Amino acid sequence: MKRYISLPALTMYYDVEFVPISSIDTGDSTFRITTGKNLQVISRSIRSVGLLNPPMVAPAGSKYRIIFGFKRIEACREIGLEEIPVRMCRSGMSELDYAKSAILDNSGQRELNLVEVARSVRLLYGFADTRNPLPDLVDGLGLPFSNALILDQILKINHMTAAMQEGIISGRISLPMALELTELEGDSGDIVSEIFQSLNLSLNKQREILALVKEIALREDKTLPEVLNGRDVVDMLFHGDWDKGQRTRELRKLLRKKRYPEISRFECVFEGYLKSLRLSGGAGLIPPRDFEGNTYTLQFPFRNMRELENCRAVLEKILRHPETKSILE
Amino acid sequence: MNLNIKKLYIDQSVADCDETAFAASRIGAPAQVVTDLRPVYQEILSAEDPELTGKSTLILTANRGRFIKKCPGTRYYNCCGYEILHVGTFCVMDCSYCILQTYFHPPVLHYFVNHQDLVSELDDVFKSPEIRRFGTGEFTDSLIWEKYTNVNALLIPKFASQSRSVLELKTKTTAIDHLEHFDHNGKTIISWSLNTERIINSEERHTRPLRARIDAARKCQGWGYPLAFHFDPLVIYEGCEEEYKAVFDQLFSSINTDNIVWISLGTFRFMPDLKAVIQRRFAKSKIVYGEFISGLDNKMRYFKPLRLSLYQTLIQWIKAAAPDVLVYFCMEDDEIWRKTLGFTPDDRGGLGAMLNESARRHCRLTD
Repeated sequence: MKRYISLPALTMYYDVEFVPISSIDTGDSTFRITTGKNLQVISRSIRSVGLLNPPMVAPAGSKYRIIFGFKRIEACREIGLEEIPVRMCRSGMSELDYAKSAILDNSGQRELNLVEVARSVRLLYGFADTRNPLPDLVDGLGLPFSNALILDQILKINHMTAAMQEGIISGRISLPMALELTELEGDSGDIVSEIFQSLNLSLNKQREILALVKEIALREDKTLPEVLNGRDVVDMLFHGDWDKGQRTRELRKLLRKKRYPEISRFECVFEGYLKSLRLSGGAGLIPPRDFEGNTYTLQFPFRNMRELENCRAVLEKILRHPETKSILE
Repeated sequence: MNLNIKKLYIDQSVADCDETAFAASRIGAPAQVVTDLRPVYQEILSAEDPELTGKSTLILTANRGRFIKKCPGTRYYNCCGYEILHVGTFCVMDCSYCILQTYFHPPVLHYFVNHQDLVSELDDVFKSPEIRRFGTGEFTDSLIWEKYTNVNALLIPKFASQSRSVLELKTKTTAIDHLEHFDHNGKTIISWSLNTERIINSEERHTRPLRARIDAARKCQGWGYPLAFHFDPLVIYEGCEEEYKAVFDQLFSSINTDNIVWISLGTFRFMPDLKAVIQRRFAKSKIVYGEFISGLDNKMRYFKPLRLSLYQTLIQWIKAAAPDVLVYFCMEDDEIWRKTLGFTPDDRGGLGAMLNESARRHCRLTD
């Protein structure tokens, strides 16, 4: 029966030895968890005090596969070291032991981002069965989730495109949104994700925009990219004079107008009417919600008799305005 | 209209009932007597498509509440004041927009066999001096049960034997064969829900085509039944006006308008929950992508100027072809009435009174 070893026992399963760096297969990224690419800090450290924490490798044919320490090995190679110390796995270690070692080495050093968590969970997934369910395998490895449903969602990150994973790592795309975008057909998810990331939108605004685009596409028998690559949308997204905030506002306005043309037109007419009234002193004319009811509300804030008199003037102005009747009726 | 029941459950409390035996023998599916319906409900709710499962699962049981219920109208919009005869729930046809998909939890076919309670409630009602309007087509289709149950064989003669209430059987089927020989005494109105060919084809699965519905109505007219027609839900799409005009043309060239007790109009409206159900079950349907706002009854409704514009056009055409037929709006406010018909229900004593008056005239009711 296979024995799952615990961390203290691990030392029994490897020896520290020197190997030529050319004998390490850097093309095998099976156990790679880190998403970090910056080697500067690690290179500086190795140059300064040497390789304090040797990577772990395991024999694989005539070469060695990396179990953990991918960045350290890359840094050593970049520095030009020909031989480096490694933790060499003994033959008693199983693939599951490799996976656990890789996860523990990473989770012990830093808080993993969601893509790294997903890579970790994927490493364990193949070993899960009814006797060893995934939540049990995850337990004790320093991962932030052990709930089966959440792990299920996390695993899906592994199938996302690099761009989507980048969005998750940067925090510009939340996991629920990334999952929703991944469900979209073809490259739609990536196109939408790119827009969301370029505008740095909050989750609520992402949801609003996605819902509008989806519904326009469904109504007009178009694909999402067809809606988003429309001339008007593209012009807005690449408008040179606008900052991200302005682009976002205009994009939302445009999509709403496309999704609800008649409502938008009506709102525009009412806004024009309000502007032409030029109400002053905080006075306001509020239409029924969505113009569904019949009750309009007039607001007249005042603090004294003089301001109350002014309200009369405002009311007169509204009554005499040529468009008031058509707006109300 | 076949029910195509795959699972038939009989509530043990009604297992010995005559109507249970009758319905079970007609339905033909293997029956399972149950003492507790909760596992059945749970099974339906946990199905991949609970609504579809509910359409092939029938529970014969007793209506333990009232058979007569008020139509669930709301205050702001004018309600017709029709009373529901709650003889069963859900429907075997599969319309994308059907509110029953989210109205019942779970959405499943129930047929209530305790007819003695129904009769007893009706006996009390018939003692009332007022004109009242009842119908079985609110929580189910009135005629899907025709081949399998005695409900209309009970109700039609029951209403025929009195003179102050009227029964409306509302349907999208053409299951009318049994109706020919009933002595209805004009107290049963047979009504059809009509829509454009496009909407019938795209949104009303397993319903009968428009032409078949109108032909069935003409047959019923020949058998002396008063008729009614419901254009509800009216769906707004490009070119819809002309397509509704084509429906009116077919209708008014086939039916004598003197026999039409009323025509109702109501644009598509729905509880927000229904949107997700339609998106899940009818992925190709575009019906929920119109310009909807949240109405004062919290239902999603078309933006009012759009409703108004469609109603104005349709009313004009109906009035041109059938000037004397009572046309009313289902759940619309006074503004819509005033701007389309030129008056509000209150101007004419209320919508209920208007409908009662038409029923009195067409169904020979007396106070």
